[in-house]
Amino acid sequence: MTYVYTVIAFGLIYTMLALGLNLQMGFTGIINFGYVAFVAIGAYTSALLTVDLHWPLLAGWAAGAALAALASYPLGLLTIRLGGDYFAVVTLGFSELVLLVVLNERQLTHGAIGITGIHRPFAALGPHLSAPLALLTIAILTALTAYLIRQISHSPLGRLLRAIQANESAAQALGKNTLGYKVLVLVVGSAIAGLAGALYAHWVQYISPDQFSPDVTFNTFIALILGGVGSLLGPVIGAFVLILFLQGSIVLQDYVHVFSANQQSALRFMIIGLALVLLIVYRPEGILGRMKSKRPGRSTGVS
Amino acid sequence: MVAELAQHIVDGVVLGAILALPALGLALVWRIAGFPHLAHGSLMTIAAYAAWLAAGVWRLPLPLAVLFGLAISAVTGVAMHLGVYRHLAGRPMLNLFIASIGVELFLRYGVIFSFGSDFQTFPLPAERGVRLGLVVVRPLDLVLLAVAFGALLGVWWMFRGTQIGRRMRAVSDNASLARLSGISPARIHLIMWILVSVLAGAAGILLGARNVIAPTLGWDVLLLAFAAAIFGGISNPFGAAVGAFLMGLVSQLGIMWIPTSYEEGIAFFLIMIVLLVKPRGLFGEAVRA
Amino acid sequence: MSEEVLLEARDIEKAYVGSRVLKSVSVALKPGTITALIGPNGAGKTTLFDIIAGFVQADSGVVRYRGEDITRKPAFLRACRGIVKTFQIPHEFGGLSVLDNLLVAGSDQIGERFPASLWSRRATHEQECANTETACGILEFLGLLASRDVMAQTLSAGEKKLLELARALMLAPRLLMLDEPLAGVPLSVGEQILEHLVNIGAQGKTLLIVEHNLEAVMRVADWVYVLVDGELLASGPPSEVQRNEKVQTAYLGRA
Ligand SMILES: Nc1ncnc2c1ncn2[C@@H]1O[C@H](COP(=O)(O)OP(=O)(O)O)[C@@H](O)[C@H]1O
Ligand SMILES: [Mg+2]
Repeated sequence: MTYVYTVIAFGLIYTMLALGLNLQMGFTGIINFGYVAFVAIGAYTSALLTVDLHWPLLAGWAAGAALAALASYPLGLLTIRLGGDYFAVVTLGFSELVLLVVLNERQLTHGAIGITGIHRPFAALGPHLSAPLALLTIAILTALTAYLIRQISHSPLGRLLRAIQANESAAQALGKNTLGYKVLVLVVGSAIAGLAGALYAHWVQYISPDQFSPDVTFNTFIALILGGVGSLLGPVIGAFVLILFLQGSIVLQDYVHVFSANQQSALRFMIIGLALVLLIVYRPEGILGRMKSKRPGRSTGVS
Repeated sequence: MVAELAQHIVDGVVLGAILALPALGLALVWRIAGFPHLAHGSLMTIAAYAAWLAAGVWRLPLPLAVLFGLAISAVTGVAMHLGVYRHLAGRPMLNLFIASIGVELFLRYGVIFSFGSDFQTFPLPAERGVRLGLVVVRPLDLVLLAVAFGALLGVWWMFRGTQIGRRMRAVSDNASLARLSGISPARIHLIMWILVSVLAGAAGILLGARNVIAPTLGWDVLLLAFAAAIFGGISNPFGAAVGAFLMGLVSQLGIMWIPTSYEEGIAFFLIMIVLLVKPRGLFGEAVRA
Repeated sequence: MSEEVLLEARDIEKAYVGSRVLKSVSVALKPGTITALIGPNGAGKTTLFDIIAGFVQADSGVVRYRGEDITRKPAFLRACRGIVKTFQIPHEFGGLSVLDNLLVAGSDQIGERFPASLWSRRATHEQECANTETACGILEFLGLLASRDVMAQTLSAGEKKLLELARALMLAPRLLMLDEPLAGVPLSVGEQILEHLVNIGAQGKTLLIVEHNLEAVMRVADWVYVLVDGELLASGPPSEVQRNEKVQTAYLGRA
């Protein structure tokens, strides 16, 4: 049973991650390859505040989301005006930097050892009750996030974000502060990533730097692309397909003994890589496919 | 103090020489194929493992093993191009970018699948540092410098002296213009991929010989190579090479003042500062026609 | 002087590597007039437009709008202040419907503010309704109403040009700059557009138009600038410019 809970919890957390990334990439066309940095900031902030400083749980989560948002703001102000490809590389660098800080500032972050003893929500009620209740909490927050994204999507703001993605210069010509909106989207998406990170930390109860490698960013991209970039339901479906595959193949490991454990886990990521390539080549609109006929291409100012 | 400084400068030049090869390749791919190639590191890794397989397991002579490594990385690069990237030409850059993550994951974990995640080393004779004035240099580093400079000179000659090189330069200077003027993109792309794969492969083998061979050998320096390429200006492949030497120098001199563990962080700060001051890189604009 | 001039670009220089695209070009636009900018392809007309609208930075020179130096202002701020340009190559929002393309243009939308967009439903709705009405009026006038719900990317090239114009009209800007608005547009619609532009001019708005249909330009323009190879060859009222010998040989004769 606990295993099923964990699969669902991870599915929900990846849903939330994919929702935030969808706001950035799917709606607005911001390619954030340092996404995991904001997940890590959220996870570490909440873990440290609640474990080392004994903050209440909700305050820790809020602080995690807020600090992730706060960290993305200056980064966005400085770099969002760069081309999308430069921005992608800069954010990848940013996530490496955050990881370095987490690893090296041992006094603050406990370094490579990580943080243990992070509380689950409702831990006081004992393990039998706390797991389902914690899961319910995560589910509610994920649903709220999905609702927020839906509201943005259906509002004039969502329309404007899609317009910015389709043609940024044209939006500027109509008097829209496109850079400002991109920073806004970066900040909101980072807050969502931060919250998801905090929820993750409090579910697994132990975090260490190696849980926040760029693979998390890549997995989120995969979830989003599986489900369909820019669609509303896509992130949910993509996240659960991804988690079921990842966790399912771990279960399979116990029964199939053709390869060593190391090889099996390597095989898992080879399949993910291959799936990503095949998806992009054959079904760039996601496995559901029908959401959007054709995504508008990247439009740089044509001279 | 002076000796220490000189030593850091030598290390910086050596690091720069290694970075220059993938940085040059990244710049070429970025300009000609139009995307930052995230799987570039696995070209380095695969070449290093192939060469190690030939030299360490099959006991082939070292030069043959190196050739084998380069051939494998060329084949891998061409396979990436023909199997994946070519089908995505004309799609939004994001598609290519993400496809290259897929390729990176597939190859990196393919290496782990085949060889495990343990470190390997080349069967090289033990070497002793050579004292040159103030500094101590490993003979291997001298080889490394010679190979890197040789490769850079070779590419330079190719760009100046051969038809295909001039065309490639034309495409990389102004892709749309070159397309209009009837230069066959298919051949340019193919040759470009062979070229950058061999360059990356050479860097991978050299890096593997200098340190150890590990599945993340290439990935670990990819960000530095990107930083170097951006530093020098993506639009100018040789700017990227110069950027690599500057990167190497700055990061090796930097660790005189900041903790070594933040060495990779220097890359990030350099990218940021350069992009903020000169959004197209240090040598970015000079080439745009 | 500044009372009489809405916008002034003075001594504008622009070079791309190897070639000077604009050589000390100066133009001045009087409020409530229609000014035409003509010249052969590659003369630098679009570049001048982009410099005035803020999409390209001039190497030197000054742009003044209503007496204020706006040379360094970003494009979106200029648009907010009433300088709106259309693109020669249509810049439609491909994945949005034609109507949505126009609705994006609406200025000061409550629904675009965050987080206000989440709770000011009612105000948003009212504004949307009003904007939709305006948009439909414009679409009807340009003959696009029937395609209001189709994706903009499926429009024909001529329809995209109309959409480009429609979005700009949506903003009712003080200074409307149109880059070849009639290219690819059916003649009859073109006539209507010209008529409408004259009307807009009569309402006190200012227009700057790049157009290759000289007959049409000469008919509606109050003032004409002739740009050839990045240099202003002549300027004046249409009748005068038409008689100018330099213009005849350099441009009109060839056209
Ligand atoms: N971004 C650019 N880079 C290099 N050259 C450019 C660029 N934009 C325009 N040009 C050149 O500037 C000249 C003027 O272009 P343009 O302003 O579009 O002319 P027009 O609109 O009058 O046809 C042309 O020769 C064109 O090739
Ligand atoms: Mg033009």
